[in-house]
Amino acid sequence: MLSNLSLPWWAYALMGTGLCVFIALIAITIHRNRGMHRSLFASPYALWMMIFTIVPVILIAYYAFTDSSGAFTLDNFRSFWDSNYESNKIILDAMGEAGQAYISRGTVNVDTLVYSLWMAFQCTVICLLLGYPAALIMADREIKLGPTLVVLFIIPMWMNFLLRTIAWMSLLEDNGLINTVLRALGFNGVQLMYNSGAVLLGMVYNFLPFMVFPIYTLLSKMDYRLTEAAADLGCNNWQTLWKVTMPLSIPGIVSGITMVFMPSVTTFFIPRVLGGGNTMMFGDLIEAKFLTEGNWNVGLALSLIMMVLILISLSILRKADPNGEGGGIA
Amino acid sequence: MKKFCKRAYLALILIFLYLPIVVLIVQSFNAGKSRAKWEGSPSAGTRSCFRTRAS
Repeated sequence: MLSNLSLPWWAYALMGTGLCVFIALIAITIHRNRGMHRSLFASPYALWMMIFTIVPVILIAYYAFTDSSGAFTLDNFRSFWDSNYESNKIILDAMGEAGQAYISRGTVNVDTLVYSLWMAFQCTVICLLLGYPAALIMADREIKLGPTLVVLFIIPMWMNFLLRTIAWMSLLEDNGLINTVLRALGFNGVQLMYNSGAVLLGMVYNFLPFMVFPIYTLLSKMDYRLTEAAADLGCNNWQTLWKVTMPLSIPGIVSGITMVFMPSVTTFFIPRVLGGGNTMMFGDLIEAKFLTEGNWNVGLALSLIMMVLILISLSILRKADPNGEGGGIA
Repeated sequence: MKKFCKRAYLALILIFLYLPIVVLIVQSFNAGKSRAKWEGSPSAGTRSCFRTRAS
């Protein structure tokens, strides 16, 4: 499998030359601007970005458009549309019954992508509905708990999301905590796991803090006298919220939506643990291309499609926050 | 009353965030291999964590 990764000699030569040119450019800049050293402090970071961000993206594009022997091909993208295509068979056979259902429906990859986008949309809406009031209360001057609560929201994120997702299994499974409590109270047990609701719960749990933080940051910086003025001029609480606070917090909402939507489209592992492998999201599919099938080229072609989609959604979101007030994430 | 509602809402969100973690901590003291069944001997699981040789 790793032989897939070996590049032709000219690729190494190109990267080496690029690096040399970059270092030479830095040297020339240093020489010319002996008086202005400040911007030079950014050059290690620029170099870092070059090597670890731009080069990998170029590599992704290179593998997406070549086959295992290194020749140019568009077949990797063909497998996106055609689930009976050779390379999808292995993964779907490994999935058993659910995989057969995908085969009979025809388009596994497109189905998975649409399902991922739908789940991510639901997750973002739920996070916004839960997170906005939380951020509002945290920024509330009467409650005065903001900084403490920020820490309380951060602490769960110190734990790996795989562990936290597995912990949800202990809660939701048929003999889990919630069902045990229900039975002790005399109710019948409920099947909570292995459906898309459980997957959604896991996603909301993992991504909720990403919605709360940007909104809280913006609201806590907001001039509270504006809300006082609105109250003086006769707005009731709801009107103040709707006409003053909400419009002012739009940049925070935008970056919150971005921070939740992006990772939730690419979610993997959560559907497999809480959804029981009956449903796949796009992240699982890409993972399966790499690990189950061992076809890096197709996996990277799918990643490229994902990246393009994310870039498109980012550019749409950017329109709502043109000045980057919400941290400029979108 | 309003203040109470606000605090209650935050408390609910925090319970949602911390419930799985509490469960995880409790489960780490479970001696059995399965998460579903409680098999006592709370220290065994934790003790093996600090040992090099399997016991």
